[in-house]
Amino acid sequence: MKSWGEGGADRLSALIILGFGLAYGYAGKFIQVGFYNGDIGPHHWIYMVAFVMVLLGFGLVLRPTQHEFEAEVWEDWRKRLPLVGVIIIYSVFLPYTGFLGAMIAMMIVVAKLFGANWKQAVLCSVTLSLLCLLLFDHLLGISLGRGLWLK
Amino acid sequence: MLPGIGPVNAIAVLFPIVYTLEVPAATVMILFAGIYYGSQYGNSISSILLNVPGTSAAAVTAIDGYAMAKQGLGGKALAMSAIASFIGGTLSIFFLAFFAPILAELAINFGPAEYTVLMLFAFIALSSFSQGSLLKAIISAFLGLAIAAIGIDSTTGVSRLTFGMMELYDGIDFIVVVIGFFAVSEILIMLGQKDSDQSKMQPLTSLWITFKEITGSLATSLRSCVSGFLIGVLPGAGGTIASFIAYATEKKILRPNQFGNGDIRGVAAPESANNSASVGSFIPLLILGVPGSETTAVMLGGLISFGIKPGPLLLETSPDVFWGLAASMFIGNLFLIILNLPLVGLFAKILQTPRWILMPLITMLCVVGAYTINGSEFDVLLILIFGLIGYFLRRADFPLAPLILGVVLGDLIETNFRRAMIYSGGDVIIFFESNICITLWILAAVSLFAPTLISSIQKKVHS
Repeated sequence: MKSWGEGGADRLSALIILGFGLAYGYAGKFIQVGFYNGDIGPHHWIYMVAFVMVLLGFGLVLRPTQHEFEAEVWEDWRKRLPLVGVIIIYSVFLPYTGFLGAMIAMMIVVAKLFGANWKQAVLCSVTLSLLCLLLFDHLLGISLGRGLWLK
Repeated sequence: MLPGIGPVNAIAVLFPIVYTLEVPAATVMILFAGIYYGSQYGNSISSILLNVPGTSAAAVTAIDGYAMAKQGLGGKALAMSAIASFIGGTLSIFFLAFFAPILAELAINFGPAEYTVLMLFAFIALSSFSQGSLLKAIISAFLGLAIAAIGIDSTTGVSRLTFGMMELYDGIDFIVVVIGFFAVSEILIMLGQKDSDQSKMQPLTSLWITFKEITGSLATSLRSCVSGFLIGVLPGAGGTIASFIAYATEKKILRPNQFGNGDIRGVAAPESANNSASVGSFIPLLILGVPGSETTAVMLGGLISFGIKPGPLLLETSPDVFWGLAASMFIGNLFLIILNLPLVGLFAKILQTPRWILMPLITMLCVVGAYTINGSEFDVLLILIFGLIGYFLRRADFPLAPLILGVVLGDLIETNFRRAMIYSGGDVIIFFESNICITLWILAAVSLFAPTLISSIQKKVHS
């Protein structure tokens, strides 16, 4: 198994944290400070959090742990990326297709990713989606998104 | 019970449903508490029959439980697990009812400075007890604080870090954070894992347990209940440490023993301790408003969402929440033993549910749960973003419990900190003035060193 080597992954994580801390503090500059009572305003807290994160990031760069971080395996991401994709597609299409259409499509992909064959995937997706709709929309009265044609 | 799906995920996916249904806060807390301590027992099933602990707290049960299952005594181990869980869970409710009002009297003197230091203590304790690097745990806590600061500032009404997005003005709902960081990241991790080997699942044998075996383990269960409760009260310690310490203590006290090779008392000790610890962890949660674990952090977020402010005044302002919870725990424990023993065969079968059914179901509940909070697709995208961040954080060994604590306590700690600074005219000495503050700082310092001591105990247990 490929590895990032001793401390390598932690240094990378630390640099990301450090960068995030700096960006977070910089974003704090754009807070439109209105009236505030005392020495601590709404932007100071952001600066404090950002400052500590930068410090901690530096700390981790200098003292990475001995944790061995296995490099990401592309083979696994070939499964994860479709999951990421279907959740994005679900949230984009939900207002148009409504819950049932979007959910069945998403579930088929997820079931396939977890090893179901086509028949199992379709059966599992349709059954679970219908049960979910029945429970939430019809029994509990919680709308799950009706789509364009049911509005 | 199902490996990888702990109480946090269960609460996270159920929370939006109860929130939308406007169920009373006391009922919600009872539901969450039921999931919490019910899961402590549920985890023992996968530990004993499959040698796959659902959570780290159940890892110790697997040592003797699985050894017993391999000897054809799996049913006996499960029965003992249920009985010890009942003893630990039930006795500790009396401790809760006794100690909570005493602590509430003490905590009534807390001002903004004391609250700030108390929350810092909670951060330090939870971070230092988290597995892995302390530095990473603190970074994780600050990431949580960074997320919590997004939205309208509760003191001044100024919007912060919203970048003009209307969806962010109310801040990010903590349950979106929990679903993303825990449940979605878990799904992403599971996508890279192979199916667990069901073939190593031991057959379920007779649950019949003799009176002699029960009385022989009674002292173990009682001792473990007391130690588990005391450990559970400490923020950050929780069920894992309680079960390890109880097991190590019993191993030392009971001579001769067969610990490690299928000793029934090796099942009783961790089960009694972790159930007792889960009840104990409600004391800091309800009386101080400081959660001691990721599950209680999620519960705290739930209580705040329902307009209940946990703290020393909870017993006066919302006695129904506190006493309702205590009463429900007793009833819950009783049902645990009445229902779980006859149904254990069914639960064992559920363990064999194929992943292609289970994971789409969990994905669906995550997506539906996120959507129902505000009826917004934006929250569905947020759980995905948090899921990806959570995945990388977990891969890089960053604990997530401090992050959730940061999100839940972020607003409270900031408000109290700012109030204290206003009272003192910007002088930080206010955080070191009172006896309560000094005591809390000392406790924080102690909690920094405690993990070293505890890890040596864990090493002894493993050896």
